Amino acid sequence: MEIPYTVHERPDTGLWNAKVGVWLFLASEVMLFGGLFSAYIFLRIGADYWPHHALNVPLGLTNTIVLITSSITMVLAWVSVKMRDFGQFRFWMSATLGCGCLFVVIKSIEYRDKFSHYGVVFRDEAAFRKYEPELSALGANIKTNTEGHGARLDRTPHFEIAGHLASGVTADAIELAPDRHEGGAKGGAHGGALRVALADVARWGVFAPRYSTYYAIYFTLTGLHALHVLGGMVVLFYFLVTGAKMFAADPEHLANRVEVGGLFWHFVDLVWIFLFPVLYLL
Amino acid sequence: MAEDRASSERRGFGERARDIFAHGWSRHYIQVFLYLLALTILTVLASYLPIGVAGHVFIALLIAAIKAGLVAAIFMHLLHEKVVIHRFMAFTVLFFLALVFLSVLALKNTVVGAQ
Repeated sequence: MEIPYTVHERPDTGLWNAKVGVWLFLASEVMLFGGLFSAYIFLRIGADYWPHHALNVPLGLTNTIVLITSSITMVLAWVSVKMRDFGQFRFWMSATLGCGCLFVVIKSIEYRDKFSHYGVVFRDEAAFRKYEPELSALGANIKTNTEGHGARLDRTPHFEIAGHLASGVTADAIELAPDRHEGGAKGGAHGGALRVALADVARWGVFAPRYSTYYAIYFTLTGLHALHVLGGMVVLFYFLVTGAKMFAADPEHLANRVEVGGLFWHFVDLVWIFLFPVLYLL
Repeated sequence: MAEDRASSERRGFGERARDIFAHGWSRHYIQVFLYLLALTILTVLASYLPIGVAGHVFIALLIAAIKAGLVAAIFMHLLHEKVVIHRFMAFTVLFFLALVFLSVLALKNTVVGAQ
């Protein structure tokens, strides 16, 4: 038995069935991400401190451009099938998959950087002041909300440094080679190391989800989004390798399949359009 | 199967598409792509302006909404979609806003004596 209304419109909806189906699915996806965006707002309103430009903005910007590019190549792949040009379809679909791979690679570079970088939050201002001369001698990039961030929502003063573990952690101290001012968000080269007594530290660790509520929601949102990118790629790859047979039998059926796959792909791009400013810029 | 192909070609999908896209639709898509790139750069630059967190949130969400609107309307063809889909999405937007609003309510529900 054939699946009905894959090409022709159903009289009551005026649409072929897969399109109705994918839009209903996207509606449920909006609610899934909506719940997490709602959680983000809730966590941010209640947070004592929220980092600003904590992630690597150039990498995030690159990934945004990669996803937007993959959206236009996706549209052109669909246009190619509509125009009955299978060679062009293969080219644009491969380009879309290439962009998807590039996005995942860049994202995993960002993740790896976070998992190998350490942060130290000082207990209070007095604890921080003890290390201030040594930190400025090292040219350390100090993240604080006491100056220049007057209009932010933070309630408590915050003093934080990041860097690589120099020799390790003992029972009473952590030795860190701090990130410096120059070199942007990644910190560039590290200079000498600094020994911070754990008695002066509120918390320390790699930038994993447990480090702060910010990193918890960052990994939840971007991790779920990355899973969507991977899922989309599986579907598009399937169309790429099995498309020839369907193109020969019924090209309009393939065009509709590509359109539905494309709708999901554009939705994933659309989610990133919100994730990028919310996590990287605000 | 051969019959299927004949029937969809007879309905003129291939021919009609060639006409539509030859008359500048592909160029139209690329135009939208360039708008999206420009808005992306703009939102990054705006995040470095000294305008405070409220200004940053307003500008970033405004630009993101415009970009999302372009993707939905043009790439996802929502502009020319059937009324059934518009109804689905109207309800979705409504529920989405309700969901977000729930969290904003937390601002109005502070614990007495906590701060």
